[in-house]
Amino acid sequence: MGIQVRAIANHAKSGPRGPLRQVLKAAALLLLISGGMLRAQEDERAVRAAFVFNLTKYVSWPQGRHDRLVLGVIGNGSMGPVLKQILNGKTSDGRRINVEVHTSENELRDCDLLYVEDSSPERIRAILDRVQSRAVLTVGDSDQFTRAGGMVGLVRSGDQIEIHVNLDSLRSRQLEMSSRLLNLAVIVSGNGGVR
Amino acid sequence: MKFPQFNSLRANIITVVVLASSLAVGLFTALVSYVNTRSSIAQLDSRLATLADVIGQNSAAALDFRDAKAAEEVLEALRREPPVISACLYNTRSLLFSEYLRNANIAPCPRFATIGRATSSDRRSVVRAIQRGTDSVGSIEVTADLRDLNDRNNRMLVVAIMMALVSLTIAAFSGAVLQRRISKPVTQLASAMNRVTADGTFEAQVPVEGDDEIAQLAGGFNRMLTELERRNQIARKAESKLLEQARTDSLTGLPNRRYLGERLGHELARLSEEKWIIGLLYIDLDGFKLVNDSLGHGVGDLLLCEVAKRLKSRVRGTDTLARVGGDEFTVILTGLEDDEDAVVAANAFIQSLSRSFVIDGNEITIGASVGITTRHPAMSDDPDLLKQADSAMYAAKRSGKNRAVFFSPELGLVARERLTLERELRGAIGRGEIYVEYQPEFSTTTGRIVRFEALARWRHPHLGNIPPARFIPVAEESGLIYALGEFVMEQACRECLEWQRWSPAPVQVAVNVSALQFTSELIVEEIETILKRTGLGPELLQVELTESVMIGSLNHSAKKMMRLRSLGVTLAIDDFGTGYSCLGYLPELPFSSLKIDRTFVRNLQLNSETTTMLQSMIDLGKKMGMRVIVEGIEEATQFEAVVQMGADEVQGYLLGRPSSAPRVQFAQHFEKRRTTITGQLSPQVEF
Repeated sequence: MGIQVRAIANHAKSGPRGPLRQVLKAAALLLLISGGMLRAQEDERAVRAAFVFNLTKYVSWPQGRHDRLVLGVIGNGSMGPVLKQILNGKTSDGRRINVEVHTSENELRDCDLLYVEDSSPERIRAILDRVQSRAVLTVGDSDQFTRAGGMVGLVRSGDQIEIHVNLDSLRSRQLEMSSRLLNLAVIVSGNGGVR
Repeated sequence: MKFPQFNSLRANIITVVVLASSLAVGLFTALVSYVNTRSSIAQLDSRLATLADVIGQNSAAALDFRDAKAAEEVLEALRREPPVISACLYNTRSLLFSEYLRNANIAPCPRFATIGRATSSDRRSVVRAIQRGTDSVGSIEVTADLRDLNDRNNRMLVVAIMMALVSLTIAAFSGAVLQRRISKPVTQLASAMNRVTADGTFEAQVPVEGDDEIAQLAGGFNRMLTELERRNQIARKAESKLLEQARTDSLTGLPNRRYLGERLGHELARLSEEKWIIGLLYIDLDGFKLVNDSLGHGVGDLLLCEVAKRLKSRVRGTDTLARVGGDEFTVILTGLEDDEDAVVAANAFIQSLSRSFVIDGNEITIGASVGITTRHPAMSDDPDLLKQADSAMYAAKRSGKNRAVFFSPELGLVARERLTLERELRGAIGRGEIYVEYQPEFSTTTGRIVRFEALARWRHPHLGNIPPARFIPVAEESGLIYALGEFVMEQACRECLEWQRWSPAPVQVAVNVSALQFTSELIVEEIETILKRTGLGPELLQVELTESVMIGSLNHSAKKMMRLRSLGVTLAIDDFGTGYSCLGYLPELPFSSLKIDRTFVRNLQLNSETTTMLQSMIDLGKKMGMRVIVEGIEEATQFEAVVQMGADEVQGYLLGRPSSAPRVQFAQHFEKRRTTITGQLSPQVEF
């Protein structure tokens, strides 16, 4: 949200024409800034949730259910409840999203998308090994995740969240990602190193 | 090119062509430029929409993943589209996500997506939603600058206007060519009409080309001209015929008096330039009246035609022969060398008429009296040639007829006047110009009026009162005396009858009968008829004859006198002592009165011989048993002397003037007589 706040602040200098509008805009601006600062941490999680939701739209799965999309969450962070709160029950391309929060990799059942939150490389590998044989879109929140064989990494870089994509991992599971997204993404190959 | 008048047909045609063309070209240009502008804007719109869609699609992922940088890169692709000056990318919440501005002068995008941004004439914006599948991920507004487009359109408009001007110029020239085909025949028509008006002739014809309306008009115009020309010719013929009729004599076809006057004036005017002499002959036929009276007017007319033919055969081409009256012809002779030439010509004409004519089986011989006059260029005075020739002709008649007489000033104007009088006298009785006046004659013994002498009077409307001494000889000469005498006698008899009602004693009327009149075989019967017709007693009529009745056959006259006497009419010798007095026969004639001529009384005081003569005549008459009447008494001494000498009756201005209304005088007279009737005459008192 910080991005948007900055953008609005930039434009406030040369914005509205009418005086009343100017006053209103200024009031709204103040409100947003204060809110944005206070809730920055929570907002990053919401952005990540939105990114996850949008990801489902740029990826096509090779086969499977067309009526629901099971979103599994594993890790030691707070993303599970956030994702469940924001995305559970939403539909993406006609597929109803069902968010399932797991506490151990043993609980992992067959899901279409697995969000791996803030885990150590060893744990990441263990989790990835669990879902290795299935067409599961794996999403993590660090660059280590993609280097470790994860498919998509939503990596914090300054103010922004970059999208890292491990194309090899994607292709090995017959998952197709839209080129539009790939245009935005940082492509990572193998088990490490940016391509 | 020649420029026609502003309101001419040519100008109108050109104007119409140019106006129509400019209207068409103008409308076409406007339409084309409008359509062009519209379509170029529509094209731009669709291009902008396409661009917006493509850019929007390419930005969808950037919007989804909030990658402003990626979005900017996508938008930066618009730099290859020159008309696009700005693009604004909004996210699903209508907040500005990214923008593209071609340069720093371009106004930045609004922070919120607005619906229906104000478009200006030099901006064009397209807003498109960005779809990802069925979801909307934001919107994009692409704005293009129209200035290039407008410039291009304006350049096109300029080109179109120039094309229009070129086509208008072509239209004007082709209109000028076209109008020539239309207006040329019309102009020809108009100039033909002008020719007709200017020349007054209808012979002008208009060239007819083609068969269009104007050609039809020209054809109609030609037909109209032909018709007008035809009518004009008829009118001219009629006019010349009328002119000819006015100039010619209808019987002989010769020029008439009027035309002769014109010709004569023309020749006289020409004379001042020429060296020759002009001669004028006045020809009057002798004996034509006799032919007319005895054989009728038809023969007379034929004779005149024959005479005209003969005369015509004798005139030269330069001469003019005219008929100026009943049997009067005139010839103008030109180019004479001297007066003798005219005389020769006159004699030639007489010669030509001397051969007898045969008309309707009648052999007719006539003669001609010709008057000649000439005019020399040197003459300064301006005489009436026609009158001179006429006088000379009359002189020829007087001197024996069938001859030519050259005019000389001495040739009587008197003779001319006689002719005029004769002409006028012919109709005088019919016109009521002749009337009778009565002069009283008194008895010296009783002082009473014993008779009135009837005196013919002629009052001409123009010549005034003409005295009997002038018109009686003319009447005798012309034979009009018979009619005149009869008229006077009848008037006198009727008047006398009236007097008897007023007078206590019978009053006679004395009527003069001329010698010529008395030669008529029928004179006695005529007098008798008049007496019967009027109912006057013969004893109240006294016929007065002059001594000249005794000339010639006295026997004849005596017989008539005797017959008159036997009727009861009294006879008197008039103007006794002036004429041929044959005293020897006087006793044999049955005169009851002797009227002594007025010259004796007039000369009474001059010498004693006259007194003696008068006395002797009175004595002679009385001794022969006649009453002696003395006339012309104008003075009292004359009256006294005559009474003294023993005259029975007296007459004169002293005693009573002639009056046309004697009855009044008469009544007055008797009124006075009744009061002062005495044996003694006292003229001073009585009259």
